[in-house]
This record gives sequence, C-alpha cells and structure tokens, in this order.
Amino acid sequence: MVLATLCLFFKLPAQELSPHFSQTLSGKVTDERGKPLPGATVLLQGTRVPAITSADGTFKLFVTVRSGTLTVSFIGFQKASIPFDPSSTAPLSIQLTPDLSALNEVQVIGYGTTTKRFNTGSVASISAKEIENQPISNPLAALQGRASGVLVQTTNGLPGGGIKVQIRGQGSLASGTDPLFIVDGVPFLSTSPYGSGALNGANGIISPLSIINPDDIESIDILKDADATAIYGSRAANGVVLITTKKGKKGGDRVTIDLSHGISKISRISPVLGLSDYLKLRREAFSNDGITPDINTAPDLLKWDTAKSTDWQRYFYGKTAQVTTLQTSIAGGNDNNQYLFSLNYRNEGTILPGDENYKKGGGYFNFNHSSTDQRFNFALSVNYNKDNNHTLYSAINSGAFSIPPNFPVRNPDGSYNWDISNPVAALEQKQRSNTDYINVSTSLGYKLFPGMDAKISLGYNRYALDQVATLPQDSQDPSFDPLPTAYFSNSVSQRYILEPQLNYRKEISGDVLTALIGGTFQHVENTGYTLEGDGVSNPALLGNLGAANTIVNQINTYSLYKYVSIFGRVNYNRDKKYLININFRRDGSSRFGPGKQFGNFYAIGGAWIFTEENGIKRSLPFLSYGKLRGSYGTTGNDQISDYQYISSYNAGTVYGGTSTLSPARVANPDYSWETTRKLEAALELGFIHDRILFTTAWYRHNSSKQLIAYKIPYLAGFASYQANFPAVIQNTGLELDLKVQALSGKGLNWTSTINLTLPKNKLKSFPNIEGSSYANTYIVGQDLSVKKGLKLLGVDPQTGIAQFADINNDGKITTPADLVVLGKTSPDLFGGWTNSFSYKGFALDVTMEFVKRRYLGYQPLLGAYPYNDPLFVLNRWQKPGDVTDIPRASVNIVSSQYNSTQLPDASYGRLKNLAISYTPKAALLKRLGLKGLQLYINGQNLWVIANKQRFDPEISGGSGGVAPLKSIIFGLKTTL
Amino acid sequence: MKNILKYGLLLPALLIFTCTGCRKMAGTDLPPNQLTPDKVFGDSSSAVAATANLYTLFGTVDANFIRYIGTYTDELKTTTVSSVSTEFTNGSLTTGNTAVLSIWQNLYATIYKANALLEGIQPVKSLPPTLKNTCMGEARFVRAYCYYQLVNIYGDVPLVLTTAVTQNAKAARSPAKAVMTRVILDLTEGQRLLPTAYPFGGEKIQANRWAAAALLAKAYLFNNDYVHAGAQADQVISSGQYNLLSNLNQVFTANNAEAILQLWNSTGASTLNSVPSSGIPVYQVSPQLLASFETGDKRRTSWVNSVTVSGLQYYYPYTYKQRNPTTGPLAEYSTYIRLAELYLIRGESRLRQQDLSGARADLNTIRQRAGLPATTATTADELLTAIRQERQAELFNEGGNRFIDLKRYQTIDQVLSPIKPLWKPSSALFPIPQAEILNDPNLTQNPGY
Repeated sequence: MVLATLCLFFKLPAQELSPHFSQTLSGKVTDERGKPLPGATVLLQGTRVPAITSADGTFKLFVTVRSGTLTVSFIGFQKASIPFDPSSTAPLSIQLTPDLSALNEVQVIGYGTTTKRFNTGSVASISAKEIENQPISNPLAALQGRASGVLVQTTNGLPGGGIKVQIRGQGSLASGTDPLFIVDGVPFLSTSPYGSGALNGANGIISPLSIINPDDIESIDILKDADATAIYGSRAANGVVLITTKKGKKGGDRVTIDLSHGISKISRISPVLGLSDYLKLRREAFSNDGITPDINTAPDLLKWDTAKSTDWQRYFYGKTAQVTTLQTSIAGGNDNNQYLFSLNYRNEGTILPGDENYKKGGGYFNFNHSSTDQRFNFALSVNYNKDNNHTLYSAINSGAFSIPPNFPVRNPDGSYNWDISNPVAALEQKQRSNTDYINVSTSLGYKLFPGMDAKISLGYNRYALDQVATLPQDSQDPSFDPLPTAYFSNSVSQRYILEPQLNYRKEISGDVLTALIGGTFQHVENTGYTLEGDGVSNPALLGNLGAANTIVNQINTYSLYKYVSIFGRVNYNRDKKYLININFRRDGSSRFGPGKQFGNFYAIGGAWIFTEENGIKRSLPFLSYGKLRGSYGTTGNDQISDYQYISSYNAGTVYGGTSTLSPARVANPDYSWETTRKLEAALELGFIHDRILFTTAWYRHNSSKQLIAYKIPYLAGFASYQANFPAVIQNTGLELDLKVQALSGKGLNWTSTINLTLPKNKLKSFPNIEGSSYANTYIVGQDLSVKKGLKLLGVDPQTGIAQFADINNDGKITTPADLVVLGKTSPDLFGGWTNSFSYKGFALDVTMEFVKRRYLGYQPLLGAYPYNDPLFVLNRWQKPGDVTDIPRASVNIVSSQYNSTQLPDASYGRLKNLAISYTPKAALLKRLGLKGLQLYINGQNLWVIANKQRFDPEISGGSGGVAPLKSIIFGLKTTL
Repeated sequence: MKNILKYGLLLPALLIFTCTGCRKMAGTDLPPNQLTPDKVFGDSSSAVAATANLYTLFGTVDANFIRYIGTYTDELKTTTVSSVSTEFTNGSLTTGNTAVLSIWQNLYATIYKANALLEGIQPVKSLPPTLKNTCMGEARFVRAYCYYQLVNIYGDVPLVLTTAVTQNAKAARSPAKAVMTRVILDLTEGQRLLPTAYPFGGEKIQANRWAAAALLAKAYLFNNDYVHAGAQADQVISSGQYNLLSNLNQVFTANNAEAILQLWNSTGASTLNSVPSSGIPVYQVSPQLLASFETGDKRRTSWVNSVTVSGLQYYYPYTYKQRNPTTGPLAEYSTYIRLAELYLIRGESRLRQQDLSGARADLNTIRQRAGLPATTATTADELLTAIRQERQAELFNEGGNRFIDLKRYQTIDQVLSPIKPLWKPSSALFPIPQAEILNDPNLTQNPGY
C-alpha cells in the first residue's frame, strides 16, 4: 500500500523531445530463464503505439526521442520499466520477472488459457501441489473441500469406489448430473460402464476416473458459469472438469524418485448395539407383544450361544491396509524439445478380511517440440494405466452392522449357518476387476502469420473393464438351491476426437483481441456383455468359463454416439480494464432424432477491472484489485441413452417355446437436450498487493426442457416415452472464496484459503405434477431432495407406540395421503478451509472440509427380526412414563415409512488432509549431490466431527458403501 | 494484410468443412442388438417372431381377466381380501383399481404391437406374399380381439389404429358401435388373409382363418346380427377341422381337436387353478354356477372339483388339471375359443331366425356331450332360456363370456343386484382407469364413476 501511494506521487522526468530525431530501438524480451517471450508488449512511455515481440522474443520500435523509458508487459510477468539513452546502442536485453500474484496464475479454460485477473468466467483451479499432498488414488478425491460450488462425496471408500461430483446443484430430474470430464482435451467416461453390464462389487459402482494417476496431473480446472462452459455446448450444463496432465520442462535432465508407504483404516465404525443391549432389545420386543419366541422367530435367543459375542464391524472392516506407492519420472529439454516420462505403481492392501488388494500401475509420456523459428509445434501425451482390483462380489456393509453379535458363522457340523443371511459366507464370493486405460492426445500447431495460429488436436481414449465374479455353492443360501456360479463381464468404452482450431490474437494500441474458431468430431463406442456360467463342479475352476455346465448371456450392449460441432470465441480486452468475452457453439449429437440433432449455445461474459480506473485507484487506495464480472448464456445436457428416437425391436417374451421380437419403445423423434440458462454476477477484490483476495459470486442456473420418461396414457402403447418436459429446476447460490497470504517473507509463511458455498435448489415449475410419476417424489417450489414421510406426533408415554399425524383426517394412517415433507438432504452449506504454513525447509498444509445437511437415516428394526440396530435405539421407550421419540421394541414392524426422526442431521467437519514435509537446505543437497530431497507425511480423512450415534455422514443411511478410509503415508522424494 | 486475406479464407473453409459433413456425422445406425422395423419385417424369421410376440400379453390379459371377471359376475368367489379383489367381488370398482388399469394397459399395449406390425410390414416387398398375409392377418385378428374385449369391458373406447404417439396420447373415445364395426372389418380382412391351417409351427396358439371366423361370430352376436353370426359359426362347424371331444377331461388339453384358439403361457394354462395341495382354494366356484349344472351333468364332475377343509367342502374350477407353476412340457393351453361355443352361437342364431329345430339340434349336441338328455324346451322363449343356461354351464371361466352374455341378454342387473350389495346399473361397464384420464386430457369417465 505504501508503495502504491508512493507511485501516485512519483513523476517521471519530462522527456527531451526533439521533433526531428528518429531511431529504431531493438531488443529481446525473455522470461526469468532466458526463454524468449513472444507477444510481449513494448511501449514507449508517453506514446500509444506499442511493438509486439515476435516468435523469438525480439522487437523493433521506432521512436522519435533520444532517451526515455520503455514499458514492457506480458501476462503472468511483472511490468518492467527499462530506461534507454544515447549510450545504449546494443540491442536491449529485457528479462521479465514472473508475477507471483495469484491473480496471474494461469487458468485452463475451454480451448485455451487465461489468468484469474482477466477471466470473465467462473473457474476453480486445483494445482498439482494440492493434489500431491493428498494420499489418494482417485484424482476426484482431491477436489473435496477445495473448490466452491463443487460438492464431492465419496460413495464408497474402498479402492475404485465411487466419488460423486456435483457442480452447482442438481439441474436434471432424470438425465444425469455428472459434469463433463475432459482429460487433455479428450472427453472421459464420467459414469461407470455399469449400465452396459459391468458388475458392482464391494466397492460399489466403479468410478472410472480412479484409473488416472493423481501424480500425473498438473491441474484440475472446474468450469462453472455460462462464460466458462458454453464453449462445451450441449454437454456443459452440469459444469466441466478439465484435467491437464504434466508437461516436460526445459532444463537439464531431472530424475525424480518418490517412494511412500503408509496405512489405511476405515475412518468410522458404524455404532451398533453390543451383545447385552441387543439381547435385551430382542427379549423386550417379544415381551412387549406378549409373544413367546420360538426357534424360527428367535434363533438368536433360543438356538445361538447368548454368551458369545463378535464385534462384526471390526471383523469385516477392522484390518489395517498397507499402501505403497512409487513414482519415478525423468524430465528435461531444451528450447525446442521437452519431455517427461514417468512410471507409477500403487499397491494397496485391504481393510476387508481376506487377501483382497488393489494394484495400479502405468506410465505417462509427454513430448513437446517447437521449431527453431517457433512457428511449428507438436505435443504428444500418452498415458497408459492398468489396475487389478481384487475385492468381494457383494457389498457387506449392511451385513456388517446388522448381523447380531452372537451370530454363529457355522453350525456345529462345520457348515455355514443360514438361520439368517450369512455375510461371512459371502466373503467367499470374490470379484476381480481389471481396468485397462489408454489416453493419447496429440496436437499440431502452426503459426500462419503473427497473431494467427492453426492447431489440430487428436485424441483417443480407451477404457476397458474386465471382471470376473465367483460365487461358490456353499457361499450361497442353500434354501434357494444355488449353483456354483461365476459372472464374466467385459465392457469397453472407446472414443476418438478430432478438433481443428484457428486462434487469432491482435494487439491494437494496448487493447487485445483474441478470437478462436474450431470444430469437433467425436465418436464414442461402448460395448459390453455379461455372461453367467453355472454349475462348475470343481470350485477351483469357478473362474473358468470353459468349466461351466451352462452359460447364460445376461446382458449384451452396444452403442455408438457421434458428435460434431463448431465453436468459436471472441475476447476483447480494452486497456486491461474492460473485458468482453463471447462464446458460441453449434452442436450436433446422434442421441437426437433427425431435425433435432443440432442446437446452438452461446454465452456472453463481461468484466470491469475498476481498480484500473484512475478515479477509483485514487479514492480506494486500499484496493489493489477490483473486478466486477457477469455472464449469461445457455448450455445443454444430453446424458440419456442412445437411440431413444428410433423405433426399434428387441427380444421379447418367449411365446409357444420360441423367442419373439417386441417393439422396444414408443419412439419420439422430437426431443432434444435439456437446456440450462446460467446467470452469474461476481465481485473480485484484492487488498494489500493482492495478499488478500476475496471473491463473491452469485449464480442462478435455470434448467428447463427436462429430458424425462414422459408419461403418456397407456392407450398409446407404452407408459412413457423419452421427451422434453417443461419442468424448470432452479439452482441459485452464493460462493465465497477468500485467500489470505497472512505471512510471507524469509521466515514463516502462512496462507489461508477458505471457500464456502450456500446453495439453493428449487423445482420452479412442473406442469401437472399430480398426474405424473413424480407426484410423490417432488414438490413444486421445493428442493429436489425433499423426503416425504409420516409426521411423528410423539411416542405415547403409556404404551410406547408411535403416534403419527392423520393429515387427511380419515381416521387412519395411509400413504401417500398422510405423508408430509420431512426435509431435504441436499446441503445448506459446504466448504473447505486450507491453511498452508512454511518455515525454512518445513511445510504444513491442513485442509478441513465441512458440510451442513441432513440425510435419510437408517430405519431401526427395533427388535422385529434377529438383526442388530444402531446405538441410538438405546433411547427407545421401555416403560410407561418414558418420554422419547423412539417407539417401543416390537416383533411387528409398525410402519416402513420414514418419519420425522429419520432425517437426522448429517453435518460434518472432516480433517480432509494433513501434509507435512521437510526439504533440507540447498547446501546439504549439494553435498549429497542431489537436486532435491523431500521427506513427507501425508494424511487423509484423519479425523471427523459428526453425530456419533449415526453412520458416517457421507455414506447415507448406512446401506450404501464403505465409509471413506483414513490413511497416513510417509514418503521420500528425491530429485537427481 | 495480405496474410489476413489469405488465411482469412481458411475460416469459411473450416466452416464449410465442418458443416457439410455435419448431418451425416451426427447420425448413427442402430446397434446389432436392436432392429429397425424394416429389418424386422424384411426377413421371414424375424417377421414371424414379431408376429408371435402379439400374443405374449394377450395370454396374460386373458388369464387375469377371467379371474377378475369371474368374481365380478356370479361364477367365482375368492378368499383374496385385497381391496383390488374386494371391489370386484362387491361389484363396486373404483377408478384407481389396479386390475382395471392392467387389463386396459395390456390390451392397448397389444394394440400398439399390432399397429406397429401392420405399419412396419405394409411397405415390405421382400417377404413371401403368403407369409406377409399371414402376419398381417394375425395382427388384424389380435387387434380385433383387443377391441372386442375393450368394448365389452369399458364401452366407448379410443380407437387407436396407428403408432403416432403424439396423436394417440390425446385420443378421445369412439362410440362402442363404431369400434365394433372396426372389429368386424379387421376380422373380415383377417379371415381373407389367414390360412385355414395353423400358421408357424401348427400349434393352435396363433389364429388361423377359423379363429377369425369364430371371433367374428362373437362380434356379430354383440351387434345382435344373428344372420351373420350364425353364418360364421356355421363356417367353422362345417369346416370339418374341429370336433367335439367326448372326453370332457381333454377339452382343455393342448391342441385338442375341439380347440380353435388357445393361448400359451410359460407358467401353465390357468392362474385359476392355483389350488394349494391342502387348504382352502383361492378361487372357488360360486353357488350360482354350481346350481346351473343340472343333475347328471358330467361337466359338474369333470370341470369342478372339491376339497374338504375342516369339515367344509370347497368347490373350485377344474377345467385345467395341471397345477401352477408347471415344469416340463405344457399339457394344457389356456383355451379362448372352442367348437362348443360355436354350436351355441349357431343355435342361438337359428333360434332368432325362427329355426327352432335347428336351434334345438345345436343345443342338444352340447347337452348330449355333457351327458344330459335332450332339451325339453319347445317354444322360442323356452329355448332361449335353455341356451342361456347352457352357455353358463358350458362356457364358465372362458373369455369373459358370462359377463358379456349377461349384458347381451340385459339381465345383468337382475342377476347381480341380489348377490352384490353395491351393484349399480352403471357397474355394467368398468371405469376408465384414473391414471389414463390424468394423462389424456380428452378421455372422459363412464357414468357412475
């Protein structure tokens, strides 16, 4: 601030003007490493016509003065003032210093880059550093708590398990809310190939992105508003996640070896009753109802040993998994060629009983070449990864907490006990999943003339999942006459993409015009099948299809998705003060019928950096940066099945012993994508030389033309058909981002970053909702996550029986007539808080994630069956006079409807990440002959604060997957 | 500047390049596991498979309908106490009754299949003409069957003859008379197209020419057009392709000589026969039906069985002997039309045309097979009463004949009011399902609902 004030009073000496003098100044502008900077602006102070550096960084400027000062500026670098006088005859050599202000950090956007300072849109960026600090195997996990507007939830903590990313709320009723994932320009499979036949193991629906090695990622940029996303048109309504991999860098060859080892445990055990409380509950249930238990209804009380107890949670999830990772890379290059080659390997044990494990490994190669005249450039990235996931066939989660403490796994004769479903027997059912992933992305660029670049990008991506699940005969309940069975599933998703582009950049007296035009041709082919092989006599041959007696073809799918578009962008930067950005995309998608395949998407964004206005600069000296920006535009969502517009036949029911062909659907050729209109307004402020940066953004996304299975009268042949429905979903919200460089300098450095999102979701309109199949699910004017249930008036203190409100006053409790809205499960608030400290060679990063919301809790059985209950049933009614909201134990389930007590608070705060590292002094490194050395400890999900009596807040209701794992690893990173 | 001009041309070039190929590039062919109609009907075996599919729901709907309509009239009583079932027993259906909806839904889904087949096969030139005719004849027959049932159950119904969804979703009801005219048209056309032999495998589970004639006779009877009804029935009887079986226990076996059209169901012939090996039968023969059998009627012993539970005797339908679910080859098929019904139709038609002796002869043919003496009825009125009574005993639990007959003879209120406390004259028609009315703005409700 002092400096800024000084500047205002500092006047340059008047230049000596001589109208008859002229000379040509020449020079070269380079970066801090001496690499030429093409496109830098060189301006004589007091004049308006600048020179722009050419491809080799040189410039020539015609001036009419003998001496003066040149101002040299380039994005990402500090502005330099270079004086010259008659003595300086040699070409000027100007080296620019990078501007380390966070505002000048490069942000990747659709088909280009920008900086936070000049961005007219809303983009959240996660850096390689933030990813590296986290001991994770799925890169999506790195986003949790790091970006405003982005809700990331782990649906299963086991390796390969699902991670759900939702950007700015749910905008679609039925057509998917996954963002568009793009890896190095190639769209990535966003959902598991589950629908095309892949199996669901103990780790739930596989998250395809888990195959990518987080350490290969340079940055993850999340595009949110219309300005940032409209260039992706019909697929961008749910936001876009751009994953950019690391690139080779200039300099001598550097070899890095990074080895780590650590452990993982389940982060939270679901709290359930112990043996004595369990038996008490069960006995109480029988005595309350006046029923005498018999051996069929109460094997737990009459048949099993009531003194023997097992902690099943520990039995199933109690193990400590060992995790070892190895990353090696070699990188280097000169001005023209840079390369990076890395190998990665991860071996993760399991928390499950048995010898399950997860192995992932692969390689990554990047090569960049540019010709000496900088006109031609070529880039290639190849990533190949493979994983091998040995897990269990079935999710045991509900088995782990509901199995009674005294359940005997085996009968006295040694066979499995099937008095109730036996989750221990299910441990013999194994599943092996192998993923094969390759991503190739290349680009060829040529500078046609200064300012005009042509580029063509080519990408190929193949994701193949091969699975075998084996179910031995004795692992299955014998009352269903099971056969030894194995499932074989194979799904392959392949995509090609070709994108020609033309980029134009022109500087006109300090103003910058950039324009882009391009096209996309994309092919996505998905194939999949699942076979069931039954009746293998020898258990050892169970995974062998050839040994099966009968082979049943369960699922066989094929789909082809084609996509073609043309897109463009015009950006004008007037005086670094006023920015306007216009995006356009015309998309054609094969998911829609003839005449409906093409659609137009656009966005307009503008920004005003008002701190560049002299008046404001003077009157608000404490502001170092201030920008007001806004955008409006349209995007689409086409996440529906292929071919819905074509009337076709598929296999029908057998008639007369022969197979038949049946019409598959009522074809509707008249539907097209869902449309989301996005509006955003934001204020970005910087104080004290941008050491404090504060952004507040408000958004409103209106999603209409909902693609749903539109209800039609049965007389038209089918119950529904794929159609656009005029329902409108509105997502509004406020996003706050604060970054404070609290301390910086030679000693202690401390940076604190907070992001906070306050989202609101509303079903704005839904014509004739009563007549639709959504009548009991959604309510116009309310959040899409509303849950309905019975209104609990209380538990009668005399009888212990739950009393529900009779909403329609008909004298009885009926559904859906007596259902009321209990609440919603979408978050009211979420965010994260990261603190980074560094002192000399030590660094400490701490990230907390917090979410405020409710979830649909587990419905206790209250002693009705021989199954255990969560700990909170200890508060149930037990004797007359007890005042509680949990009814008495009973062998009869009173109501399976949710009631108001079953939407508990599921807010939590999680210590998401803790990273400590130490880098020895340079002198020591030199003595060791190393370029770099780092010792580190990284922890993930180490601690959580949440309702102790309930299941993990990320695993709703306890019936989902395994709670996120907590892990801590120790590592050593050496650079040779 | 020169450069800008030169390379500026690239922009439009790129645009053109992008757009010319666009239309083609954003379109795809169908995957191998799905077939477009032109592929289905361009090949004989797949056309036959699509034709067989017309009957899949037909079988389900027939089985369900017989069960519910039996309790709705005076044929059956049930131990089931669900509200769906109780409404049928009491004769007071509500618009939300799921069985009322499912009958409607399955019939219209089958109509869609028939319409899709007719639309899809029409333009195809590559099929052998006789095969194409047979497929079209089957579709006409099936569509006619569905509308015949719909009109009898719901009265005026939307007449949907295409697959055009946007138009169909707004369809209004057509007068029952007009719908029945369409039924007669479809069957007449079907008769022309269908062969006399049973197509595609020779089993009696898909319509032949005589099945179309038999249904046509029923449709004419609905219109009180006795001349035509009798003529159609006579065609089938005199075709010589069918004969009455003397052994009553074999009347419902698969492909027997008396059967004209039977329906195939993977889980066995009849859901009615789900009699537990011990315990009270879920569907029991009503006292009224039991009383309709004269002394010595062999049908009373062959087609009705009883079980004694806790000292009480329960009678249940025993036309189908195989129990549900059946394993192994099916010995019985669900019979929709058989020769006996055509004797009764011809008899009634003869009677209405004052051919009393002819009527008596047809009636006696059926009585004789049932082990009963020749009828004592002499006058036309007496004979009509005798034929009605014979239809009740001979055709119970078949195709909803009892319900249709009671309405045709205009005796439904007189017969059902005394035994069903909630019966109203408007109960003669089912309600239009509420779910349909919600989704089709032009659909109106029947009076009384």
